Amino acid sequence: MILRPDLPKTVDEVSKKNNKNTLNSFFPLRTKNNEFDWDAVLGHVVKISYRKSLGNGGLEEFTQLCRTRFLAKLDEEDFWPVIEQMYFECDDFFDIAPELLLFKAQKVKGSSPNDRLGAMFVSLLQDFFFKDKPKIPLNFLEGEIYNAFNEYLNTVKSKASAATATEYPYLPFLTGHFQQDLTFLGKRPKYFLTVFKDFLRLYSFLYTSQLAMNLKDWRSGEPKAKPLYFILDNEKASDERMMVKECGYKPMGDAFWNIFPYLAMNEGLQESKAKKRPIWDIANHLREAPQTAELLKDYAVAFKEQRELQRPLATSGDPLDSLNDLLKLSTDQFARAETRHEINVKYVRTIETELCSHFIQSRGRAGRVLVFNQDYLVLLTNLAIGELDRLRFNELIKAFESRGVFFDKQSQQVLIEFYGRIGNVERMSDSGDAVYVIKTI
Amino acid sequence: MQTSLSLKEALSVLSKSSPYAVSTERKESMSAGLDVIKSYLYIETDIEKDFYKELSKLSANDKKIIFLCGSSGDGKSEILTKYNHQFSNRVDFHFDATHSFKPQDSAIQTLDKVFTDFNAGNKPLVVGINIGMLGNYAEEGDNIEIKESIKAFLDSEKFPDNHIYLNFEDYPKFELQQSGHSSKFAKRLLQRITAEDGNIIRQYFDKELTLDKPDKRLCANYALLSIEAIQDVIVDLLFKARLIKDQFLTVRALLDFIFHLLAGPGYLQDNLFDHCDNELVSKITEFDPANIRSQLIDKFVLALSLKLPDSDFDDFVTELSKIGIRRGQKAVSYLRLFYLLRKTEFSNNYHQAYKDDFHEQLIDKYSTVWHLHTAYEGSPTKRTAIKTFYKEIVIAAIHKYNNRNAPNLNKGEFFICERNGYQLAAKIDLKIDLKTIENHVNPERCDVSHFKLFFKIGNENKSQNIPANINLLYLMQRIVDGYRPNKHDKNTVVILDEIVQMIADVASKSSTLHVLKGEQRLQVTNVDNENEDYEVSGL
Repeated sequence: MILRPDLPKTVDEVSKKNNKNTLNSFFPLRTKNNEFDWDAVLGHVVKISYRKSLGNGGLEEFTQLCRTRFLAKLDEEDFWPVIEQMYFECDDFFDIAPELLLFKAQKVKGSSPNDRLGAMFVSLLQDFFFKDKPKIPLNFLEGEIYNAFNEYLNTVKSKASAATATEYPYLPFLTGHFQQDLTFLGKRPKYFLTVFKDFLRLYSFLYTSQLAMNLKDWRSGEPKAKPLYFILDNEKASDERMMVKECGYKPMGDAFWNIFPYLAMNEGLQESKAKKRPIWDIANHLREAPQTAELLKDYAVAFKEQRELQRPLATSGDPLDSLNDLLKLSTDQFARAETRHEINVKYVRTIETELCSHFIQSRGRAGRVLVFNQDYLVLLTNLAIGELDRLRFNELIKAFESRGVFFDKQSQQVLIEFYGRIGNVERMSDSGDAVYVIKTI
Repeated sequence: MQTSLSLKEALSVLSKSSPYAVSTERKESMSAGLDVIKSYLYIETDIEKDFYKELSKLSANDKKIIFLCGSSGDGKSEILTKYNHQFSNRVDFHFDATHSFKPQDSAIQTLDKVFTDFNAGNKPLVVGINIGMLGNYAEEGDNIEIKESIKAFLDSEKFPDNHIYLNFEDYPKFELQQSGHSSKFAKRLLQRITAEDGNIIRQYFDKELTLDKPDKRLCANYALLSIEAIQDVIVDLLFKARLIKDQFLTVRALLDFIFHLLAGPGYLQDNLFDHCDNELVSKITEFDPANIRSQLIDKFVLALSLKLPDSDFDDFVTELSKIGIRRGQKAVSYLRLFYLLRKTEFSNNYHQAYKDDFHEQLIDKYSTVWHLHTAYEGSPTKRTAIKTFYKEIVIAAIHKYNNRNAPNLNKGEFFICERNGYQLAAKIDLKIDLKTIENHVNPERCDVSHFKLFFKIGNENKSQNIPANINLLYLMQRIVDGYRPNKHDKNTVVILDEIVQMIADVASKSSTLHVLKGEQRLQVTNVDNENEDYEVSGL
């Protein structure tokens, strides 16, 4: 049984069990308390992807450990303060190796916003972790610290069990890419460190935008990358650019309004302790279980009455139609005239400010558009080329699209110019097709 | 000369907007006069000879495919149309992009059908195809066998024997020789257009001169282009565009470029350097000699605008007017003419005074270095020359670039990283790897646009290399002279960053580290690798 067996059947039951819309799955934002500390999120992701944890150990304890180690080996004790200044009195310490970011995960406690954002990445990671660690070229001082750290890890009581995902991936295609890209970065720890934060921001945005675009399409089965057109930040966003206008910020912004109502309803349908399933997966199961139609229908009727909504409900006896009713009702309760309207307004605003701000720009008459700046573009290019030496431009564009980033012909021209400028194109000939793009790592 | 074409009309064959710019099989000719000119201009190329060789080897039952691939405008269709009639009874021809069976089919679908027919039939096949399209077919086509073969060809791996690939890119249009650089192809074409004898175009030129109202500017341009030294300078510029701007040269682009030089809006020198939508000119404008600043040039510009008397210059201008260039041109226009004429005598040689200002060291330098790498044979003079080049340019530039934020470091010391205001550095050896250079010499297979720099870092046995082109050379030279690249300079700096990364990796393995902060200079040595004892000095 996919559905919760005790789905409310009466108005009373709805008041008791589903009076509030709660959301704890598939999306990191809540209706309140949404400030992210990306550093801590980094630590959190390291914790999961490296399957390591510091337990209760802290940076101070570790510094003392290093001090003892170094003093035993140094012929001049006075050099320790220099090392201490170099590494332990500022964030440069974290530039040694990604694992050291674990110290930043220490702050994550309870259901803080960082933890929730971390959970979103857990969902993207699923059961992924770095299996083999690459050798990082370190000088002997940093090597000493790194070795000390690995020993320290073994001494602290670490509950090395990985946080397993409490939900199935909503966007399996993106999960695949995320794991693949993370594996790629994991092999290049130096580069990884420089782009880690950008990498997570990029994926939180891709997840958010693609989730929003795919929510309504739950009848079509497993989600695919939906077209979302971006421009480069040095480009003009003229009105004539159909794709940028029609398949850009606007449909995405509109779809944001569905995130909270849809996901909250979805969560309400499932048992609270069960591993949560995405709506499209629920729909797949319901299709096989016509007997659930009655349950859902009763719930829909009760829900409608309890929330005092006006929507004619389906009479077909198809469970999917009732599911559709429920999702629509859930959205209706946040409609403009309803008391709950303000909640969703705030929620959508938070999505934009917390997760999308790096990718949305206001461009005068063209309004808001989705943009990619050069740093993200170089990162995405490197990820898309991945382990290959070079990629044909057409395939690069396809690799972008499979991650949910689309560019129209005009942007593609600018893209080629950009690659030409930073010197990572190889042309086989001057006909546009045979342009190869190489990595810049 | 049966028709009454004007010179401009005759030349219009060259333009890319002319119907002659694209070859297809035509039943009727569009103009008898133009047909004659076109066939006069036809130059047989090496790829055509090779193509003919392969084609004539085919027998009617061979299961072979010849792929003639190149860029748009290379002349694939031109070659194919020429042989289509002669061989059509025993070979099937397919011109991709110009042929289709159904208007609604995509090019890929059309190719699928061509290959299916080929498999079903028993005639050999010739396909003229764009290199980009070839790549697309390798990804999206239906015929597995051919897809695999194309992929192998594109990745320079082994492909089946019954597939023959002739690629225009394998027939470079520029050569770099010890004596200098040239483009046999471009030069031949220019000579063909301006030849003194048996040249139908010159006949139109002569006729134009006898008219009551000749197109004077066109005639002046034609006269200028007929000067061989000017042709050489133009070929030089095309070569520069190829090296520096990565501009490829196709036949169609070249023909259109020549047409623009002759029939463009101004005199030849202005057509060559004034910005316009011609793709070659748009690259060449950046080499405009009028932008060079030197004392002599500035003086000339000033004198001309102040109309200071200069009898030598007057004589020079008078001589120019004899070939049709009117008096009173702008200073930039004259400067460009000086530049074009710099390799030849003209009138009282007034222009020779500016010769040195126009001297192009970069290309000469590049050419020397390119030869040192592609034809190194180990003679003592070459040995000294290449070592000096590495020491004074390559390694000096890498050292300066690597240590750009750590100016206090000494020679041989390389910056690794900065930690909270402390700079870490290590001493490592960066040396030329002569042995590998020697082993890499292969004059047959080298691209004029780049070569490889080889060196060894520290005690590593592995030879490291980076691709070098003229832009990198230029950048290195400027870095040695004191220039510091910034982040907008991303071009080619990416390559330097790669070396810096290699160096940092090696340097971090060093057993002695230098730690610098302000005046403080410490040194830590890992004296015993097993027990790891650190010796500190300088405290």
